[in-house]
Order: sequence, then structure tokens, then C-alpha cells
Amino acid sequence: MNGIIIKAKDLDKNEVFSGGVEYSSPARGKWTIAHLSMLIPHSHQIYIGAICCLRGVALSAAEFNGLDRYSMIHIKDFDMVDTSMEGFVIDGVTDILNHLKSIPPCVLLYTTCIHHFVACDMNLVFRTLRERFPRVDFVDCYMTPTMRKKTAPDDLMRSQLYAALEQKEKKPKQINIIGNCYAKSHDSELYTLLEKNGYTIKDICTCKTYSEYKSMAESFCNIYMLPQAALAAAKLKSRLNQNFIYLPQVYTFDKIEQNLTLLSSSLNLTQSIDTEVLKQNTKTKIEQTKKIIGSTPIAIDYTATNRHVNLARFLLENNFNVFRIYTDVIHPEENDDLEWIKKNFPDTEFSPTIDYRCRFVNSLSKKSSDKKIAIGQKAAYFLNTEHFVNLIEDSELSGFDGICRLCGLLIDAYNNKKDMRNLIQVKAWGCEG
Amino acid sequence: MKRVSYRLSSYSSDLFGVASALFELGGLTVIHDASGCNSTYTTHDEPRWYDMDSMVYISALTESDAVMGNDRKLIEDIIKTAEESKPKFIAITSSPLPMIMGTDFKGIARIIQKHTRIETMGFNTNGMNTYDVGIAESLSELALRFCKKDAQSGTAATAKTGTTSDPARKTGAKKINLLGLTPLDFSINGNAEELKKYYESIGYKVLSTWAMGNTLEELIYGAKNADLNIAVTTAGIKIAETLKEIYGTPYIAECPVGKDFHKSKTLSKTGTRSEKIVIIGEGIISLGLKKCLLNEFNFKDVIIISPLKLSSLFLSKEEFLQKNELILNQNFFTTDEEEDIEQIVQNADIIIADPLYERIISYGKSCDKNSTCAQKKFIPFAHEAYSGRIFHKTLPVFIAGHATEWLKKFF
Repeated sequence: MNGIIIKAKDLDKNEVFSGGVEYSSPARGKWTIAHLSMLIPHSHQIYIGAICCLRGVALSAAEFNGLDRYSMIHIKDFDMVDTSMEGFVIDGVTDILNHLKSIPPCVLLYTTCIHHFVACDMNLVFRTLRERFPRVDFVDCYMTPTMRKKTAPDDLMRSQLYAALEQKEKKPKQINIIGNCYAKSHDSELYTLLEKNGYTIKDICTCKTYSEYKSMAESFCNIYMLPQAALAAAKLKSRLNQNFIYLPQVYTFDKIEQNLTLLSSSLNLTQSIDTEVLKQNTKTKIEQTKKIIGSTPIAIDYTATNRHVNLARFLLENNFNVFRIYTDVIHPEENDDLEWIKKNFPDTEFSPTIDYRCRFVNSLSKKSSDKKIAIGQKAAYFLNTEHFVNLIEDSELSGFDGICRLCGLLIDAYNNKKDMRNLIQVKAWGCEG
Repeated sequence: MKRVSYRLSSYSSDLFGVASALFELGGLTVIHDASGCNSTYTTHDEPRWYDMDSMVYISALTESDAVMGNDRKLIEDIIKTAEESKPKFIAITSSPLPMIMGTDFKGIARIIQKHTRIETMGFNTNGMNTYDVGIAESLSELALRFCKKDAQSGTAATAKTGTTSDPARKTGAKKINLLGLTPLDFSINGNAEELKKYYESIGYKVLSTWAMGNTLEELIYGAKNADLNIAVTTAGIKIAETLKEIYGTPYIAECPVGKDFHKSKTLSKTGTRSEKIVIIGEGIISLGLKKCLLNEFNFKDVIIISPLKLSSLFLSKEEFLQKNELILNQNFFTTDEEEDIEQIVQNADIIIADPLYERIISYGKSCDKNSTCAQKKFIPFAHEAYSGRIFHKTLPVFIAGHATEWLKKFF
């Protein structure tokens, strides 16, 4: 990692990756647009694009047994000078739907960068398709990485996940959790607190039927935990008049308590939970974990949690030996945690993951003899360690309960090896077609 | 409807073919793309990604650079990376958007080469052609860049003589190169090694395999000193033609599948098994498989579907059409259309194809338990260029006698 690792004290901006051609490590971690859209029960995805764009999503679908819910329309070079792209897409989608065993309730139609550069009239396409298939909810989706600086495809996908929800009468005691790819643990204080106050919680991750998904429109409020779900929350507020509360997934005690306070005050909750007991239990669990793991070096990557700097701070505060964070950019929300690390653990290392030199950091043939624990698949790959926590976007972790679960995962990672090579190359663990 | 797939996957594309072909040769390959192409290639199409430190990157094209036609970032980033990493050559490939923008890859390559003094190749890939196009273009260009220069320096062997049908045995040639090998067709499960071993077992000396298992220098040496080149895939034919142009080396196109591949020059006309077989896959490998089924397993009706772009070019070459009785009887189709493939396999009793093709007989309105689909026998023949790494572990070694043993499990 010569020249690309930066110590916390030397970080003068939030960018760890300084630009240039980009590397892609074999560790996948996060869910892609193809995986996220599978969360809508019984929906069908149709992609329109060149084979180089279609192949990745087709094979992702094949990998999670989702090909029955996946189709595609191939774009060729001559389409670029042809003026009938709209008609071709309309006829292609019609042909696909007529071939399926049954017409799905929801179709996610993905355009790629080229449609937007050749100014394909997608309004016409969707209008015509809705006329032809009035019982199908058509959702416009985007595989447009070229436009990522304006709106990240991930953010756009998370907002379109809820685009098929329609205005419904609101239930005052029903609330949604939106934007996650894993359902949060029902043992978390978030669930406990809301259920204690009589709320029903809906989450796309747990919807089994399309009507259950549609009933999310009856919720009066959305809770989101990831910045990439902010667009979804804003759109639902504007379209369905659903309020939103942002409760970022964090690991330090003070911020977890801030979340609980915010939730209580926003919803005027009358019943509370005893956070002191939760904190004490969590501290005990942390101590037990520390006794087992000791000073084993720990690295964290950005695919494990959006708040990787906050997680690092939490672990450092509790005397764990976090020596490195793999990330390319640090979210401004993490600035205070970054400043804390700079002040208290200035030698903590930050490493990019897409710098071209990362290619030579590690290959699986170069084994390290020292035991290191990685939190996240990319950290596991770069450290070449089989001792890792396979955490993706915080998985089911939330609040104090999440910390206790993380402690269990750390102990497991310390005690047991995982088949890192085979685990890390599978995209979006847990996604099923 | 044409160009619609409602249940199948798609083949690897031309730009991944370039990356795969050049992977082991010490170069720097940059895909001019926003994001996604790198992930698809490294996740699905490149099984060597874990164990070999090859440099394949993306340029991270942005919307504003695309709209403004700004190539400066691409050029500067490549120059910076090349100056620091000192690759043996640089290759730049295009994803669909730069193709629409009309990016001048040859011009960009010239600028970079002038600046870095490193041989730089620009490829007008578009992400819409199949991977074989990228393999053919990249290795041919490599030969032109490195072998032609070498030949012009006066050290090249003099032009060889021979025919293109079966010159090896007619001219007594001994030194050969195998052309058109990548893991996309041969995986990394031993096929490439077995291929080399097989030709050496029948008296040849394999100088190089383009491009698995050799360095760039070994390829140049092999190209210069071979008596015969063998294109083992359709992608290898263009490379063979380029080397013929440079050195006068004759070539043939074949992939030895089955233990008797070279024992019988003619095809068995006495097949008694009436089941109709359809093979879907790479053209030359499929021809080898067909020969094995006809001569060793007594079948008489074997059809090939090759959905790859270069298969149709292969068929258009008179020398192959006239000399290859395997494709003389009009049983070689070159379509990549799902509806065409469905039509052709309708009359088949046995289908040999990548496991993802099984959906064409198992998924669809017409495929219930009582339909003719259910009566068909499907033999999975995993093809990395189609299903990526998904069935990697089930992919057989199919060279020479290994194919015979593998097929015995099914017949």
C-alpha cells in the first residue's frame, strides 16, 4: 500500500481516493440495483441495453435464482441512429410480458445511459405501456452510472423501490422503515419502542406479497437510516404526504440515544424504554468481547456500514485495536467522528479501495500470518484474512441490540475462519429471487 | 421478437474479450466507462482476477465529460498510471457511451503513446458485440504492433509454405502456436494445459498459446518461429491471418475434442443413433464436439448453434466452407436470437449447452410437465463466456480424450 495509505492526522479532506483510473476489487459486498429491486414481491425486471451492461445484472439474477423475474432487450449500434427506439422498447416489453407465465403486478423497466443521451422519449414509452397493461404498475428505473454525480444510481434505485405505492388513507399507528436491504432485528430497541407504543412496522424487506408492499402507502411516516434513502423519503413526503424521520445507523452510545430521543419526540411517544439497562447490558457484552479478542488488529470497510468512521470510533473508545479503515470518501455526517479519531488516534490508517495501486495490495495467494479481523468483505480481501465479519450495510444491526449482535459476530470472526474467497465474490448476500 | 430475451442470459462482450485476451501479458488495460463494466468483468468474466496481478481498470467517465467530449482526464489519468506502473503496453477500450460520443480511441492512443513511449492500442469496442470480437481484435493488433515490428527488423523467419486445410501433417510441420485461448472459452480448469499437452503428444512442439500461460515475449518468439498456427476458436482466426500476413505462417482452425479427433480425417457416415442433438456454444469447439459425437458415439444428426459474432464470419470464409464437411450440410446456425434458438431446439432430442440455456426448455408458457420440452435431454456444458463463474466448478475438461470420458456419462 505504498503511498496510498493516509494516517488520520494527515487527512486534510474527506477524500481518501485522490482520483485517476479506478480498480474494482473482487469483494462485492453491497446490493446492486438488480438485487434491490427484487425486494418488491412478485415484481419483474426488464433491462434495455448493450450486452456489456446487461450481462452483470443477468448473471446477478442467475446467481440468486432470480432469472424468472428478469428479462432484457438488446440494444445494438444501429439503434443509435434509428429513430424508432421508443417503438422498439414498447414492442419489446409487450412481447416479454406476453411470454411470461403470468403477467406480473409490477414491472421495473431499466433504461441505460445511452437512452438518455439519445433522448429516448420514455414518457411516451411508459404512457403506452400503461395503456396496454392497465393492471401493471410500471416503474421507471435507471442503470445510468454516467449520471452518478447528479444522482447516484443507488439513491435513485432506493427511491424507485417505493414508486409503485399510491396515495391511500393513512393509518396513524402504522410506520415504515425504508431504504434498507436487510430487515432490522425485531429485538432492537427501535422495534421494541415502537411496538410498545402500539405501532405496526412495515418494511419492504419483510413484505411477502405485492398487496403487503402496497399497504406501505397507508403508513403516515417513514423512518430511514441510510443517507442513500433520503431521496426516497423526500419523494414519498412529496407524493404520498408521508413524514419522515432520519435515524442514522450509528454505533456510539450518545448517537444511539439521540436517535431514540428524536424518535420519541417526533412521534410523541408516551411509553419509553430503559436505556440505562440497555447500555449496561451492552457494556457487559463489550467487555466480554474485549476479553476474547484482546488487541487483535481490526479493519473496517465502507461496505460493512455507511458509518464506518463512527464504528471505528466506537471500537476505539472501547479499547479495541482498530488500525485501518477502507473507504474512498468520508461522508460529511462523519466529520465529528473523524475529528475525534484525528485527535485521539491520529495514526489510524485510511486506505482507498479503488486506487489503481490497490490491485497490488493483495491477492489471495499472499497469505498473512498475523491474525487480523476484518469487518466487511473488502477489508477481508485487502487484509487477506479469513477472520471476518460478513457485515453488509449494517445488515440487521440497529442500536444497542446491534452492538450486542456485532460483539457476537466479532467473537465468531475471531474464533472461526470463513471461506473468504467464495464468500466475497457473491454479490448481495441474502438476496433471493 | 428479435433482440428480446425473456428467460436467457447474454454473452460476455467485446470489451471484456480485449481485457481477457491481454490479461496475462503485462499491459495496462483501461475501459472507458463510468462504472459497472469493471465489476461485471472482475466478478463474472475473469476467474484469474484473484490470483494474477493484471492491470484492468475503468476510466470513471462522468456525464459532464461525456457531454463536453472531454478526453483530457482519460488521457492524463492513463499517462499518470502508465508512468508509475511501467506496463509493457497500454490498451484502451470503449463501453457503449463513448461509442455514441464518437470518441477517437486511435487518436487518444497515439497521444498517449507519444507521451509515454509505450505501445498504446485503442479499440473501438462498443459493448454490443460478443467477446470473441474483442479477443480477435486485441491479439491481432498486438501481433501487428509487436510481431510486425520484429519482422520488419529483418529477423523474421522466411515465409512458410503450406495449405490452410491440413498443412501440419502434409508439410511435416512441428512447431505450432495455439491461437484464441482465453478463460472465456477454456476456463482455468486445465483445458488450456491439456490442449498444449495433447498437441505435444501427437508430435508437435507448442511454442506459445495466445494468450494463456505465456508472456508477451514468448508470444512474439512463438509467432516468429512457428511452422503452423492453429486457431482453436473463431477468435483465433483473425490472429492467424495477421500472423500469416506478417510471417507467412499457414494456419488451420480446429479444436481437438474427443480421443479420436485426429485419428479419423473423414466423418463417420454410419451413425445409427437417431436422436437429434443441438450444441450451443463457441463455433470451433462445437465443431470438435460434433465430430466426437458423430465418430465416437454413433450419432448421425448433430446441429450447432453458435451465437457469437465471429461465427458468421467464419462461415463466410470459402476455405472453411469447402474443406469442412462438419459444416457442409447446413447444420451450423449463427443466430443469437432467443426466438431462433427456441425454434431450432424444438426439434432436438438432446441439447448440449451452458446450464443457463436449460431455461429455454424448462421455462416458458409452452413448457409444462406434459410438453415436448420435458422429454428433451439437457447436457450441461458450462461456458464461462455465458454463465460466468456460476457453473465454474461443473465445467468439464473437454480436450481430446477427456471429452470422450465426459460424454460417456451421458450416453
